[in-house]
Amino acid sequence: MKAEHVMHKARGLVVPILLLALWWVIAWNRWVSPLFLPSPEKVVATFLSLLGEGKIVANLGESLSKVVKGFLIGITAGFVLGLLMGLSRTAEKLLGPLFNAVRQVPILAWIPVLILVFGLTELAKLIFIALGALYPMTLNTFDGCRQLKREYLELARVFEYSRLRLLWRFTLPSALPSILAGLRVSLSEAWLLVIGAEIFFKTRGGLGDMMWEAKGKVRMDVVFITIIIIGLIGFLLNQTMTLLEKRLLRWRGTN
Amino acid sequence: MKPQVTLQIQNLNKQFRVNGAVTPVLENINLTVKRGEFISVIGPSGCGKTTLLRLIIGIENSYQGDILLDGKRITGPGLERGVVFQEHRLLPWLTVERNVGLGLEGKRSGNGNREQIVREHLELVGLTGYEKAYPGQLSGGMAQRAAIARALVNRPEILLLDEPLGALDALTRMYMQKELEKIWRREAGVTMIMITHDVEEAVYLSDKVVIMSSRPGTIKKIIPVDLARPRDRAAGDFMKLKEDILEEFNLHAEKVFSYAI
Repeated sequence: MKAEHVMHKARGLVVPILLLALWWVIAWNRWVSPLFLPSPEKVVATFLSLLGEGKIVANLGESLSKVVKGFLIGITAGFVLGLLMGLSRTAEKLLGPLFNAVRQVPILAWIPVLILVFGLTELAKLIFIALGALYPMTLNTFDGCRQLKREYLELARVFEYSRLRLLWRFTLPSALPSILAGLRVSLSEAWLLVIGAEIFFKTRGGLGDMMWEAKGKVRMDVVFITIIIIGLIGFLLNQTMTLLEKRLLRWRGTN
Repeated sequence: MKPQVTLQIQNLNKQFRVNGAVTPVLENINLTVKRGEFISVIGPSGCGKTTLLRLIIGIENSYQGDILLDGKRITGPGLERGVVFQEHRLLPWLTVERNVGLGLEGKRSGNGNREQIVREHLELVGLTGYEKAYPGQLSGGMAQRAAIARALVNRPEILLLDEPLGALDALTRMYMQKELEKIWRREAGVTMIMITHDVEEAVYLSDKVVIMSSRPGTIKKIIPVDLARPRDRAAGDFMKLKEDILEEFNLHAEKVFSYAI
């Protein structure tokens, strides 16, 4: 049983290992110029030296701090907005159309506006990231609130619940799976945009900046390293959300 | 001493408006329920029996006539009326004890020792030992027991049951009928009004069986059940009463004449 479980998990590693081997073979035989495809050894060596210089940790820390801040701002605003529209038909009528129209504008299109209004500041970057986290959070919170079953609403009336008690006992728990799904999308969106923010808002620090700088110097090995780190962190963030979901929705396993 | 009559329904009429057309659902319903009585309302589907119960619960509004609880007209739900729905309506994300405790979280719920009240009621319905279980881990019968406990924690005057055993398999249902009677006897003084479409269930549990006919829903007959409890389903008078009620629905066994030559 245990061995089977390990085998099952290990299956996800098969393709990456094959790709790694392919990369190594191509680099070894120099089928592609090392300028475009540095060898795995070279990438590892560069990684170790960058790690030694402290650059990786510093840049990663910079990006993570931005993503956390932007994410928190975005999901808070998104939760409030989604809750408002989810609980009140009036709020939905007032805010819904505007929200759905604004949502159609690609987030990248806000870059000029943000730069003109806020300049190349930390604030501009945070708003940019927060905006990406806001949309999925709003939509999922809204949807979740509307998932409250009529049966539960009747129950709350029979128990003479206050509106707050109804929200706490029935609406929010009913909405939780949807809200958590929103959190997951928001987090991955925020992580994508943090790299974008660091590239487009042309400020120092962060993985995006590190990558962009390496591009300027035609250091494909460094670009590779940043891509791998970005991918890995994104993966870890997603795994964290999966754990959170499993923990908060434990009761689902009982059905 | 509390008055004998707890619920009084007088000249009750109710219509539904569907696509502008007015359809009568209940017509001229009159019913007096005495304190501590067990009443069953039985009738074909569509006879308005569930609407009648929802009106008594107070989650269905606007009706003509009067539904009086201790002399006061019912205009909305209240804690003196406990409700058990056909589906248990337990929250899947809460344990059994917390689900039962839900009944005590309303605006007017007393501030007694909640834990103790919950424990007592779990004991009453025979769920001691399942406090920490989730609804998804319970069988249908057990879930419905939890729902009954939840409906009773506020010590309601009347327990309203909307086909509470309808979704259970035949054996579990018979077992639960016995349990329900036990609960009714132990909670002395609680009035129960149960909607059902099971004639045997009605005869087994009730002091009075209210027979309804449909379109529009009216009370066709009220049959008192004067049989000693606990009742024996195989007894002659039990069977006879069951036959009598089935006859009201034209469902009794055809009487065969036998000739002796």
